[in-house]
Amino acid sequence: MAERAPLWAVFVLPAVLVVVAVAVAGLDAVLAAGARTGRIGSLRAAAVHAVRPGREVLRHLVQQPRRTRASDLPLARIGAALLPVAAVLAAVVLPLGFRSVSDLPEGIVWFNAMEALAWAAVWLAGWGPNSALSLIGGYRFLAQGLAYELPHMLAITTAALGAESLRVGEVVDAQAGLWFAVWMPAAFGIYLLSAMAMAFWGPFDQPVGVDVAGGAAAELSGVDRVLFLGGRWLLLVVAAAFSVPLFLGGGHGPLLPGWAWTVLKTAAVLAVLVWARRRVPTLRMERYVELAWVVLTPLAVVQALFVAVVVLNR
Amino acid sequence: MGLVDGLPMADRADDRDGLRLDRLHVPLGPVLTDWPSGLVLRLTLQGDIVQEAAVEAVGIGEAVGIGEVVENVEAVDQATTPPASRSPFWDEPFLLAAKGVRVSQGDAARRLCAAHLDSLGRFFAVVGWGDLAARARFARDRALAGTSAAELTALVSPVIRRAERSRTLRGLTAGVGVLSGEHARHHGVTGPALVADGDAHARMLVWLEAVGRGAATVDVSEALDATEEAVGPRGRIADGATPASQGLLDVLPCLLDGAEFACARIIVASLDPDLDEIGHVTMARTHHG
Repeated sequence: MAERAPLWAVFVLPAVLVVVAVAVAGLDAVLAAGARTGRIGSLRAAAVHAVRPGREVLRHLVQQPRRTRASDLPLARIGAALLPVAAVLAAVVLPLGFRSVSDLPEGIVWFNAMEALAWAAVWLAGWGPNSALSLIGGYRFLAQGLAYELPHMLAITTAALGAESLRVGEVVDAQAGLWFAVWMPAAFGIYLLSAMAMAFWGPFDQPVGVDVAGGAAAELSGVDRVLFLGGRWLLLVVAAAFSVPLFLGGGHGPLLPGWAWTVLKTAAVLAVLVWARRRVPTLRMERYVELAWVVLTPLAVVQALFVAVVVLNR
Repeated sequence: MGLVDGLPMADRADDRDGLRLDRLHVPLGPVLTDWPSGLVLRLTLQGDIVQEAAVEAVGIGEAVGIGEVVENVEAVDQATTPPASRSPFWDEPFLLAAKGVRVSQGDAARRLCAAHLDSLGRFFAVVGWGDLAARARFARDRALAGTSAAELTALVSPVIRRAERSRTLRGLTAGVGVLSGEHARHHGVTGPALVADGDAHARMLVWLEAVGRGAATVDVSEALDATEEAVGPRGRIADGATPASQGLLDVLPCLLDGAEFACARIIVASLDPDLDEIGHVTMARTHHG
């Protein structure tokens, strides 16, 4: 079982998440800039692109905020601020090595509940500004939720089933021998898809898509925009990092200490996601929902059944 | 219909499933990212479903709308009217050849190739494939800068290969905005949209094919045959005739009817009307009386 982390970890956690999110956003910016010519270019150019997300944040913070007419400002603000809060709260159960800020007995349920707060956040941010395009962005996230959440819940339930516990620490302990990703590959794959979907990022970025001029984020400016789009990166980092204790054995690994393994595995998952998003166009939910319900959900049920039979015969 | 803060409230109407739902009147364009500049679509949306669409073109002396909207935006200031007297950029070599100026086949192929790469850039951006959009735009810029056939082919072939092979892209764009050849011909569509005889994905394939073919021939120096009918990036080009893009605008409303918002954007991007063409012909007509 995971040990409890000291109290100061509560304050360090958000800072660590922000640092990781900025690093991932930087990597993404470098790849996006390199897409034009198919080459990354010189190290110097890469460094310039890597700091772009940071510069954007500063620009938004000093920029004159704009407001739309008849907007519901508190609603939009709550939506924007809720996103990073949800991400940090979900990260409370994330173990670094074998220590998490709080290893709740129902850690997996807690994680899922906090992640579901994003539904409210995106909807409020989309509804608040009284703008048709951001409203469409809000709608889209609800449709997306309907599509990804069902297989996603089954996937994380499968991991809990394999460990016979909802406590994240015990899920990690159960993988001391064999990683769950090895004998639950379908659940792991589905989890990675839904990690991107819950952060409405990559191929699942329809709620803030280019075609709706930024969607739910279209009318956000200044601090609101930084919180919302930053919160999205935080959510992605947390969702990707949570795949490590769930499926990739958490801090287990030879030679290196537990925290180093967690960091390495999280970095690997994030790198895969950042790379993969460049290979595919945005998935429209009206098409994806078919795949999610007709293929992924039954697949996840079969996976859960398989794991249940294995656990019963242990 | 009430007013809130000076803005009209959404009114209600039956939707396609017989429910009474709010409807919003939302204009799209004339400026929007990855949008044919100058095009205005007046949409009636229920949720994100397009219930009705009316087409307008801003800054052109004559209304090109069909369906409900015939009036053009009256407030278009003369000063802001785009320089429509200048010939449309993408059709230039073909128009020059029609006037008897010697234009090499290579130059025409280069412009055609770049025009399709420009359209593809918008299409990929709208379907949310930023990487491929960036590649297509880079190739377009290189083509216009006068690069050699070998280099251009090396630039466009990975784009063509990735777009053609992507099963995700096919799954996402198949069945979107189906325009049969018959329907297209009826509205006077003559270009790639007629050749494609199908959905947005089929139109993209036609563009890709033309790009590949064009890129290989940008160095050909023989003169373009002026007696042959010129076919530009949007279709047939004939002096004084209805521009090819007019046909594309005419088919838009019925294709957009009932489309989901994202599909509507894909349909517009896959037809990609060039409003310069329309402005040019309109101006020419006014001048010649």
